[in-house]
Amino acid sequence: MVNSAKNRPTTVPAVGEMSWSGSRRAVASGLILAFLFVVLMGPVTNPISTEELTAPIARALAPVHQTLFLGHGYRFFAPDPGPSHRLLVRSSIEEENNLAFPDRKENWPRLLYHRWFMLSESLWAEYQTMPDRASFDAMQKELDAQATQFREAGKTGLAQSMRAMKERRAEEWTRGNERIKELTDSVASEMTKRAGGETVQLFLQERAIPMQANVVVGQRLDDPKFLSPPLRIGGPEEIAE
Amino acid sequence: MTGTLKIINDHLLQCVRGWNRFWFLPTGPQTLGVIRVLAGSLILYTHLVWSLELSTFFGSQSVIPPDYREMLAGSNSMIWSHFDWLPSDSWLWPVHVLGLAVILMFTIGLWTRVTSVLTALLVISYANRATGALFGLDQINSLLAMYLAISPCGGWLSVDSLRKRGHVLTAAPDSVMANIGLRMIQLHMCVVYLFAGMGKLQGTSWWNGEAIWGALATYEYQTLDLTFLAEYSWLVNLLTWSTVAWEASYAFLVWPRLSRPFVLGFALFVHLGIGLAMGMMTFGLAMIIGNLAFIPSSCFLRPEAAGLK
Repeated sequence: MVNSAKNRPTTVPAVGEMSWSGSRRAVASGLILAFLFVVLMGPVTNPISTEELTAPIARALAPVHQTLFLGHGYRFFAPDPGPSHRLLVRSSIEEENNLAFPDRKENWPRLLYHRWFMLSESLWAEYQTMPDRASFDAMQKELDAQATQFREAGKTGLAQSMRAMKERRAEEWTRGNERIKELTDSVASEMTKRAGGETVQLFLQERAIPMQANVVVGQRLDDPKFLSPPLRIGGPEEIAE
Repeated sequence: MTGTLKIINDHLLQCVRGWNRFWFLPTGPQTLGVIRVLAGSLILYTHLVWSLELSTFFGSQSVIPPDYREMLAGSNSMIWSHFDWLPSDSWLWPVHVLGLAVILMFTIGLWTRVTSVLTALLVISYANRATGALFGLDQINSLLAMYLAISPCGGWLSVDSLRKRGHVLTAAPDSVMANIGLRMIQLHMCVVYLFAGMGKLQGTSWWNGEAIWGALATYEYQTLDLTFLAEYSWLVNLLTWSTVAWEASYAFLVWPRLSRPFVLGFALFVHLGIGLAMGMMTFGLAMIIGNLAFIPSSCFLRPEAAGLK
């Protein structure tokens, strides 16, 4: 039986009737403000932050963001909806053992499909944002040249800052490549289990978004013409065609 | 001068009163109870689905290695997951089933004070372990779980209510923590929408009106064929502009009573649309559940209890 006395409408007491004391409210207010700052700094610093102001704040707050799974950018479908990416797996055994992720038929329910979709997107993002050796060396050379220019102009502070940036980038590039290798090796290992055989080759493939005019003239969204040539990723193992 | 000081003083006092009213007025647990049941169900489903590929994503030989997460976050990272502490993979299933049981208890409102905190920790832990396979759903699940954990969300529509007060619809007394929990969800939703909207304002396709087409015509997302919209550019443009205008203004227009129904109504339309057309029903539902924080507890009372009969 419902206790109607307790199931009463929510009342709105006057400020004077607040159940918390002033000091309790003051402490709670401080905690609320601090937490709101932590929440707000997530999207303020991710994915873009300012070198001198918000990036140091992000670094300071990282332990809290990481512990509580905060610090997200929340830029859903921003700045623009982009092309999608899938992971292709070429088996060393037979063509029929080849796999693709995400796969509408195999990855069910839809949430599981989305997990594989996000994994292939993450792989793409890793490879896309990491410059190859030649491009990286060119960027480092450019920083060197700028540092020399500043030094010759007597701007030793700026020259030092360029050198520091060069070292930081070198460290990030090395770490980034190790990270990508770690992920790719792990994906390759899982795919080898699924596809059978001793090894697999991994590829990433981009699917462009058709223009409205394409669809109006009868082209389908899954038309192969919207697929880019597969990009080989991972180990050096070659599988005979 | 004294007049100016008095005006400033009065204004500050008004601000303090407003702040106190916003955060510290006790409120009922009804809205939180509804959010707990819905968010709990969604979180339970999210983690049940992980069961289908448990060792693939959470085992020691996971497709996403723990070292990758550490390398991504940098040294001295505080990212944690209880899966890292398992001595062997034979513990994987028992620990997972135990986690599902905790989430189920939270959903039905059993020992909610404890199970709500454990559920929040579980949501964070699973998300931390599956870095690389996550999307917006995980972010919204975790924010809802976190704020439910600090609030008396088991005070209504729960087994706890049945045990303590004799009926699941007999509410616990109004409390300040119920209000703080709801306010935190509301404000966090505003932050999510504000930055999602501002991010879109940087994109060309949101300005030239083509973005919605881009979202609907991505084969990997598509679950409902809306390609007939290709013939109606004006409609695509209108949907694009409406979406970005709504999202960027949500944080401001959701507060006035006059505009709130429209803002929440549009949220329902957009998120159901994303769910049905782009195969992200779980994410769509998570966002809709977050929006429920703007529905006052009195709306969930039976008409006679709310004094309407």
